[in-house]
Amino acid sequence: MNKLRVLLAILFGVATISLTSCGWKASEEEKQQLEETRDAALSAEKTLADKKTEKADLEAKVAAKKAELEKVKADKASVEAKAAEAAEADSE
Amino acid sequence: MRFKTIFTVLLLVSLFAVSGVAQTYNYEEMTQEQYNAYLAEWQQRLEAAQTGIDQENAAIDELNKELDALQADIDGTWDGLYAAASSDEAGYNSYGSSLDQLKNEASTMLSQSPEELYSKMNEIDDLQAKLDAVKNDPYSATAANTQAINNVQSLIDQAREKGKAAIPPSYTVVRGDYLWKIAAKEDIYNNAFAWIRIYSSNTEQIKNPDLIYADQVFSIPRVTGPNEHLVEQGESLFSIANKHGSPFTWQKIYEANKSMLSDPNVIYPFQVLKLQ
Repeated sequence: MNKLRVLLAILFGVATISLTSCGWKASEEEKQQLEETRDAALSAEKTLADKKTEKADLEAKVAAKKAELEKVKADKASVEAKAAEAAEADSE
Repeated sequence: MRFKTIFTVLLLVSLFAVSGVAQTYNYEEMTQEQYNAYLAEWQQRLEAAQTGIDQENAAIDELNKELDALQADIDGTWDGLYAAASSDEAGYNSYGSSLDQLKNEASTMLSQSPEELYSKMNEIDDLQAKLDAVKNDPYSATAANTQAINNVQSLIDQAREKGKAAIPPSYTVVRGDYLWKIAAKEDIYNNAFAWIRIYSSNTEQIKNPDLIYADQVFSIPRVTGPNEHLVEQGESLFSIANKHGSPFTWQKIYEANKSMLSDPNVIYPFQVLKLQ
């Protein structure tokens, strides 16, 4: 009877040790997946930041071009007026 | 020296260790729940970034299209501008070059001494004539060209003013001169009506303003002295006296200038009156 108790105690001990030492561990594939996903996310975030910078540059260029267009339109109107004035003076 | 090397190596090793810890996971102590959470977080961030990239790419495409359209508008407007001046891009550039050349000429002119400028007043006049011709071109109406023209005009005006400083303070009469003609000269007063200023400033030599003689040297005052007053349009002895203290002293002014004034009620612009 005592031997049985000792045996059960040993079995219980072995079972406990084996249960605690056999916890979940990431496999190499899982590790690779996590690392690759992380790298891809960081790379995509950097690309996104670059795209935002590119967009901001383009917005600035568009604003400059709009201002340039307004200036050229005003210049064109002035030149037309001056040319008309000269033509009128010539006809007189 | 050895200590320094050891210290550097230790520092590098510790930095490497710290960066290694920061960049990689400790898979040995990681639970499955933690793993799943990390993976889900990175997948979510990746997805969000990719969505953002797609949106930014679409916006960039739109902006590029807008930029192209604006450039086409600008080019078209320039073509219209050239057509309005019956010219082309080369003509416009040539106009800009002629303005640059005028600016250089005016700058060179201005860098000369007052005496040199005085002797080259005719060249300044030529430069002004060139600028006036340029002002008539339709291209002169653009904002940039208007600004450039104003700059050249300013340089010419400055050169002219600088040259005036060398105008001699006296004038030697030559045959055929008369006071009206002398006063009208550009380097004298540029105003024929100012003949009376020459007369009133040279009363010792000029007894009769209608009679002057060759080789007489007249002083040509540019400023009025401390005891003098240059008569302006609309002034009377009374108003001049008032300006210099009391209106009731007009008689003193009349007395001081009696040789020149036959009637105290008749004075002329450009007369230089003594105040005492």
